[in-house]
Amino acid sequence: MNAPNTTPPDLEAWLADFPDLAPGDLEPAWRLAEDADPTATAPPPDPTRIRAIQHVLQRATAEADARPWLRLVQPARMLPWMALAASVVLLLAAGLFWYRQPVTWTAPTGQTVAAHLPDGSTVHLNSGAALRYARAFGRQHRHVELEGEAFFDVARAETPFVIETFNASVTVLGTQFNVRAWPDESEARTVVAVVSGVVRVAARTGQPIVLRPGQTTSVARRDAAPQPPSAARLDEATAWRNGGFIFYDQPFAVLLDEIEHRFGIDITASETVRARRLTISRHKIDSAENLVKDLCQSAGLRYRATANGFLVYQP
Amino acid sequence: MKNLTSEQFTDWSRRLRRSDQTAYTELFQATYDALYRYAWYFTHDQEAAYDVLQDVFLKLWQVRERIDPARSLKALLYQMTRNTALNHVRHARRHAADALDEVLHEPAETPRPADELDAGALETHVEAWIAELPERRREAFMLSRYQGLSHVEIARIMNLAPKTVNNHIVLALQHLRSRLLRHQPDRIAP
Repeated sequence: MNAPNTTPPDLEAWLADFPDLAPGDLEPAWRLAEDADPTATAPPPDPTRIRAIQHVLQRATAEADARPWLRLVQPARMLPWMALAASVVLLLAAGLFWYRQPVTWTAPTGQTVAAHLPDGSTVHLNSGAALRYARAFGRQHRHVELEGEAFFDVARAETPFVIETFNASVTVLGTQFNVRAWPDESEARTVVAVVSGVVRVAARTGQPIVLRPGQTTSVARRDAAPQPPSAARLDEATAWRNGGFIFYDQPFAVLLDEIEHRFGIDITASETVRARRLTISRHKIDSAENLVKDLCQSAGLRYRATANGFLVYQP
Repeated sequence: MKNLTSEQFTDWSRRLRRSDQTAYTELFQATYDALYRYAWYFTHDQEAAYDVLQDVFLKLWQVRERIDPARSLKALLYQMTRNTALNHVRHARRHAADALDEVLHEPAETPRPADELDAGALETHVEAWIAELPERRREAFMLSRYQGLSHVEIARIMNLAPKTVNNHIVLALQHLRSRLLRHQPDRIAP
């Protein structure tokens, strides 16, 4: 901030109303305030959101150009043909409005959902996850937004398939892979694991990396770069698709977050408990309580029910 | 935004009237940060601030043919941001659930240890002194001090008489001055 260090000239001019003040009296206070801008404490704008807004604005301006007939809608005397034309225009506008609304798929708590996209791709959404894309999806672009976890089976095509998560973008041509990106988790990350094909993962910073089958990478919160590729445990990454629960040497925090998402409950645990690591492999889960009980037995912990979930604690 | 000249804004006004999309993009690039922060000043919510920013620019494009290059475009942007943000806040308050949400998401004030409040942490004091100002006085002062707006522009943004704006700013400075005098008499004494 290069704030001016002298009071503005119009202030000087109006000091006449304050006879007890000399012109220089206010300068120290003005200078003193230099670094105390209340708006400087605002969290800095997120570049992804700003880009999204610019995108909306660009579309709005392009639309105005393509639709000069909108100017016809002026309060003039209306002839019958004009009324007819106006209703046609209104219908078109309503259609266009509908067309501009994104398509959203969400998997309700406790269920997974298979979304079939217009290009022939299939996206299997984990409980609580959401997928959004424009109705124009498939023609000039294949862009989707993902919040949560999903397994992608992408149909091969010339146009790249791009998945935007809260902090990364994943680009592919046609392949099968899992993306996990819950922004609300305690260690929120975007994790990508590839079953077949080739996938490119880019974050806001650092070099994008390329994943081959059996490889995984993750992008830690906000401005982290993607981790170098490492060997993926595909059964771990995709267990949720068949209702299983498989984690190899993961902190309790990760397991508890997964249960919270899957069953829509709250689990409370101390930091010590959340930091404990555990390996667990279950192919069928019948209830949240049995799973929590199971975890507690394996780790020597106790639990009790709370209003909307469980409390897990050290005995 | 402070280092942009009024000639630059006049140029953007003229080009916007001719539906120049490049001018529109340039204007957004040059001003979004300051306007987002100004919106945040009212909403204290990032999502709401993004919404306000987008609404303001969509609206600006709709009214582009009626922009008067003789009047400050910068003031117009601030004015639109202010009105949209205040509407947003009013609307949010009407929803009890949202209000509860607001309380839950209120960033926790980090209490500062008492020794830090002694001499040396003058900046902390200045921020607190500015926070003591009545709402509208603080806003007028902020727009003048940090956004580099003239009194006439601020008057238009806040819907006040220029004279009132001037009084607000002088009184704000006088407040800071008296606080400073009490805190560190030697800083001001001639």
